[in-house]
Amino acid sequence: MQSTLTWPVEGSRRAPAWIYTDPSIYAREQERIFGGRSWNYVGLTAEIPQSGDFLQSYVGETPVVVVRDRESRIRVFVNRCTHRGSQFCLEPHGNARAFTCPYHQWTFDLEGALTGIPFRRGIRGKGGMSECFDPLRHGLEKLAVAERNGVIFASYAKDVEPIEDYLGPAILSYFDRVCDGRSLQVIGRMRHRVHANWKLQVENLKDTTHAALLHAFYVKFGIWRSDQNTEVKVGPQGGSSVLVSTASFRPVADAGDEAATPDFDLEDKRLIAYQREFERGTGAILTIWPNLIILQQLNLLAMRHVRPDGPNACIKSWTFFGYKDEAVDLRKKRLMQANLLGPAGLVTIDDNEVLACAQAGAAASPFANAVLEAGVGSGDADHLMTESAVRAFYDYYRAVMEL
Amino acid sequence: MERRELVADVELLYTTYAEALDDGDVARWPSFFADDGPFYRITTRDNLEQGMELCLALCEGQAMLRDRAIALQKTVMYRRRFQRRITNGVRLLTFDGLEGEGVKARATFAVFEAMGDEPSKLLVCGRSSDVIVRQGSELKFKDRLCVVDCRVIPDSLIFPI
Repeated sequence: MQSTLTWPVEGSRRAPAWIYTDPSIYAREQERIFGGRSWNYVGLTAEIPQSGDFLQSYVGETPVVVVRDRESRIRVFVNRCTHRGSQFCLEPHGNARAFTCPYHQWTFDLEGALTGIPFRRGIRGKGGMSECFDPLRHGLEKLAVAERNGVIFASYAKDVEPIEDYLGPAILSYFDRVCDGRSLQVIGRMRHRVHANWKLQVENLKDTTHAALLHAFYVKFGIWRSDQNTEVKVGPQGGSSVLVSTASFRPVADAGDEAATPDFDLEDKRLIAYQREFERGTGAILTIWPNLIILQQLNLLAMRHVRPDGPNACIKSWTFFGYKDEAVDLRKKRLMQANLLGPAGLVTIDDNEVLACAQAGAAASPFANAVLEAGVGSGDADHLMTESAVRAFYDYYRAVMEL
Repeated sequence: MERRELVADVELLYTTYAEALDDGDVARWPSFFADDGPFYRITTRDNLEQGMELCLALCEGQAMLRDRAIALQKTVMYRRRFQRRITNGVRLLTFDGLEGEGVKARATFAVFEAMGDEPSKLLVCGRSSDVIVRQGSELKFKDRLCVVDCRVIPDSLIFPI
């Protein structure tokens, strides 16, 4: 690494722009963060209910296959044939009895063992695999797996702490608030590229102040305002946090410094018609180290997986869900409110655009620093006028990255 | 009505619809839909093939179309961009019922977008399944379902398809 990549003396009250743009930092993140002691979200058990069901996912930028094996246990393999490195799983999801690589047809069972090699003994006594070739040593690369209430995580580290300790009690209580053990049901997906580094996207959900300034839609309809009852909770090492807010559903009387309230009203209120489902707030947004956002906003429930796509972009992959056998009108509310989120979302578009602007700024001035001076420290807060969760994220980031 | 005449009128609807959006006139967008219970959806092939109900955009009724059009003009923050829609392969699947249930049509679409100093890039392409009715002297969409081909949309999908 270049010696010029030195973190500013102010610590996590500054974030140097090169962390968003530098290829060597990006490569180090893949190794130390996604390839290190982290629990990486890969999917929901509801997506692979039966033995043999699989789905493709990602740990960092590495493609993985999440499989339910013959004994119904969940396995996560790197999507790479151990022979010549080809991706062996080509379908995004499906059901398989085994995986056969298309290149030379090496076949792996659902537990990842290499079970089939064409021409192993050659043809008519000639050729074939060498005497010293041991199929037992060429199974698929396996990741450690954790599951909690239907949510699947994978890790390259074999000795990472249990997911419950990783999250810590405060974050865990908000995790369990939505993923409470009921069977989840996927209602659809959205995937789109955001032209910003993955950390800018994750930070955005830890940045408490922007919502009431940028998101005029939220302010207008009283869904997210700076003066609402709220709290910020930071997890044990700082990498994970939760922002909780309570919508008033009242327009701002005195807008003060907030986004100018647009002079229109919804003709059809179904877009934000909300039915209370959870205690403690109308919205709780968890960011789980490194790149999962669990979003509960009104009746919208989504796993937002922020997949790094080079230093200058990320892919936001949203898995929207509800609960199995839930009421039809609640399901309908989720579908209607989804108008606010995703690539065509009346709120998400603001973020996609502003993050692309932030990336462009970082690319143009890589040795300039972002200022994170709202509030002090990296701990919990009972108000939104603080960037403590962002600072906590960078305290932990610096430790993991040794920056 | 002669079939040829109907096909020409339907093609004109698609053309003027695309023209209004390409001109950036999102305020006019709801006027291309019937007064009575129009339905507008954008989804992906991925969601559709898996029977997932979720849409990227979903408007039930004129009021919701107008709400989206006005929100795009008044609350959503985005950088200035120019779009160009290419509509192709318009085909009528049914020819009767223009005054009642409507006629069914399908078409292929491509939306290109130019932003900043960059040349126009393909934003999305796909196909639409539409139901078209006559309202007064004009044809209107009663139902428009836009199905986007790609799994990962390369940027925000700000304006309607």
